[in-house]
Amino acid sequence: MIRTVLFALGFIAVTVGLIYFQPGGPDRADVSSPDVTRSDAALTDLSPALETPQTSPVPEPAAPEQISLATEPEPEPMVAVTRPAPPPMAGASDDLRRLTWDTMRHLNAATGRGAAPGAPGSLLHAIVQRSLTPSGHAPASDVMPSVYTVRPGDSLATIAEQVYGDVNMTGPLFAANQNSLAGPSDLKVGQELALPRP
Amino acid sequence: MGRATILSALMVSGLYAVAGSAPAQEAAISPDRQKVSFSRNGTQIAISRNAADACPPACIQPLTLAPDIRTYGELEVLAFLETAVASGTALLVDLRAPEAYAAGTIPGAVNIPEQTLRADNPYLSDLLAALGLTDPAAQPSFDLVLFADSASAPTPAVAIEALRSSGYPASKLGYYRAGVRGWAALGLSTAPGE
Repeated sequence: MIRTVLFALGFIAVTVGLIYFQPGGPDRADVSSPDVTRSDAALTDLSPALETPQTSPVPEPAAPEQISLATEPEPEPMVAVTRPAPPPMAGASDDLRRLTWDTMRHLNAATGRGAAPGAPGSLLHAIVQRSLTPSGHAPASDVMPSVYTVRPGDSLATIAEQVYGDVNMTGPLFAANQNSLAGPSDLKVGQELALPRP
Repeated sequence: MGRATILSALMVSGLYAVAGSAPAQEAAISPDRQKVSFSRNGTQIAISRNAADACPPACIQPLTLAPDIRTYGELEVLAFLETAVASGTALLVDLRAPEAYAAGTIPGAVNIPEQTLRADNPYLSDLLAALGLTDPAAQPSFDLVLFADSASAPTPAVAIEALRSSGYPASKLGYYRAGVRGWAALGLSTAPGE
């Protein structure tokens, strides 16, 4: 009985240690935080790089122990921990997003209102802004003020017109402040709005 | 457990197969009327309905969805296309799924699937901005006339209700009741969606 418990404790300690240090995985310094810049086009390449260490977490030396303790229920949570997290957007919400973007693309093409690709107000621009600011915080900017203080008579559209010279930035502006705004008209005088980079 | 799941899945797919092989089935006329019967000069007359889809949801729609929403016939739709759509101030909107729109629609219509207009779409504000509705206080850019498959499609009513609750004014919304099927039944030309 004591031997079994000691075996289990030893197995857990070794597994946790191996998962934590990951001796076979790539160097942590390589993975930690690559510089994200506007010119870094291949942002999507980040995700495979970040997942790589998680895909080979169960080390070889632990295998014989696992066989001898096949009836031991405790190691299972360890394996569960190493599963890669599901993508934040999945399933129906993803389909709805694609459907909405396609609809907007067709609408803009049909009405001739579409801005040039990548310009503020364009579909591409809105998508990039959304992917860059998943938590609703605007990225730091060194050329533009990053905060706007609401004045009497302001609406999101007038602020977009005033700050960017483009009323089509209303959508990205609202998206960047969704944490503090219940709706597009929920503005209070003196409230500080984050300004997304155009 | 596993066997029971497989069995129930087979039964459900079997039901769908039966429903698919018999397109016309007895359906209700409207949510509260299964059949209509009356007598004319002592003779009993009954009217029932055979339809591919069950009611609800595919019930025959009333001529007027709401007192302030204008209903269009074909001649009104043609005039709407010639004047308002041609001048860039209006859109004829196909509410069906993109696949149905691509297969054939009223020439000049744009596609806005009904589900993208629902309040639970997180990207609804972007879509409304593309229609020019950037501020609830401001007027949107476009008059819209909405249509779907046929006069028994429930989607135009749902979409008009969703647009109104998003702040789209009723005066800028219209309803072409007959839909693509009514359009084609009159021999009017259709075109694949853009």
